[in-house]
Amino acid sequence: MSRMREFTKGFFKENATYVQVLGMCPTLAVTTNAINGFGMGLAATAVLTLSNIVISSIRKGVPAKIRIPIFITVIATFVTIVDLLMHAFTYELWKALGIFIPLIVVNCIIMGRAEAYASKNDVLNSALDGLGVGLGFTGSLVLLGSIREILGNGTIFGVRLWSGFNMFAMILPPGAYMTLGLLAALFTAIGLKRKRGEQK
Amino acid sequence: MKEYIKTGLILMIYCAVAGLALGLVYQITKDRIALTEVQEKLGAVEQVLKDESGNYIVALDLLRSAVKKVDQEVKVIFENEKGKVFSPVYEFDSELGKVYVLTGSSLGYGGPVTVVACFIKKPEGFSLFSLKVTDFSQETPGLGAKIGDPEIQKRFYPMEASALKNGVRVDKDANLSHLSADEAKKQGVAKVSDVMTGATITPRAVANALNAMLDYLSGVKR
Repeated sequence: MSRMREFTKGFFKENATYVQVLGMCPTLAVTTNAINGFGMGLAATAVLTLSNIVISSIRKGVPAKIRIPIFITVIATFVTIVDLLMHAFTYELWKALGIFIPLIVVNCIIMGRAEAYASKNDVLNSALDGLGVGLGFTGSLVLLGSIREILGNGTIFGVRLWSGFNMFAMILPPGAYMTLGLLAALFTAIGLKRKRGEQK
Repeated sequence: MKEYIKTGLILMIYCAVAGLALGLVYQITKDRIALTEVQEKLGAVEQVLKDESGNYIVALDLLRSAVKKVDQEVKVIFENEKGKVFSPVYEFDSELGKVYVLTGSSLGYGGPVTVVACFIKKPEGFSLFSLKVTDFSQETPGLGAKIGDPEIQKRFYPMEASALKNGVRVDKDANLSHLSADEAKKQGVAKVSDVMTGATITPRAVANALNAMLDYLSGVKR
């Protein structure tokens, strides 16, 4: 697989949110608006890329029996670093994302990529994989957050588009489930269509 | 046994390196974090000490030196069923009387709602001069999060000491939704039902936080 395909596979074909259905907790909880989804996605991307790089670099010195505690230590270290940096430099976003920043530690996308990819591949490919999957995750959160924010609040990234027509349910948990379900169906349908096209 | 010791040592080395990295980042960011927290607090305290025409009721130098001097570590100093009051509590002398600035919180829809409020001591009790809702990040955007709008926050203040004898309530709880915002304030009621339709829990949390502060003030400063 070329390096470019390694990078782009996380955008659509192996999209963590809509195709692999991973990381559902932050996906449903923080996407009440687009900016929260964007911030959460970038924080997860930073952790994913850095942890993939480190895990790939140390993979030969990690005994198989204790690989999971070591991966968790690496991931938790980067999450704490991101948490401290966001607290210091992006205070409003840090406050808005609240508990979901520390919870990146248990985001199964990050652990999944560490175990399934970074521990078996070289540093460059692991970095591209982390960056690609992270950006795919960010795009998914922004898409979900934008739809919920537009329909539920009449705004996008805080900019008002219209007033007087708001579907409040879109901002509440049912709106998250409905939008996620419809987008997952859309991604699956497009994926199937592509597959059929490739087979022909 | 040898295997256990070996894996334990390897894990220890990884943890030590991780600890070292975290220590370094903490050293780099701690001053900036402290500064951001002080600025946030100072901004909220400054805002609640402004009157309607934008003038401060306490000299700014006095205020800034007080905020910088006080230990910024936040501790719960009072708690009841309505909410919590946190340290530090600022006390200033002004032409209007003794001024107290407190930080309190109560449970909203998704998490704690934090309020910084300014009270003035009067012979008949404490009057609510101004407030700022500083943290409502867990409230629902478009519903409870509307509490961040300064115009909505103005529905809570100013309230005279005589109006606060029974604490602060929201109009829906007091069954006084028919009153205008100014009339409601005279009875210790914040009229929010017209501007925050379908989101009573968040303004009720603000009222509860204010009531916890009033309980704290009346208990400690009586």
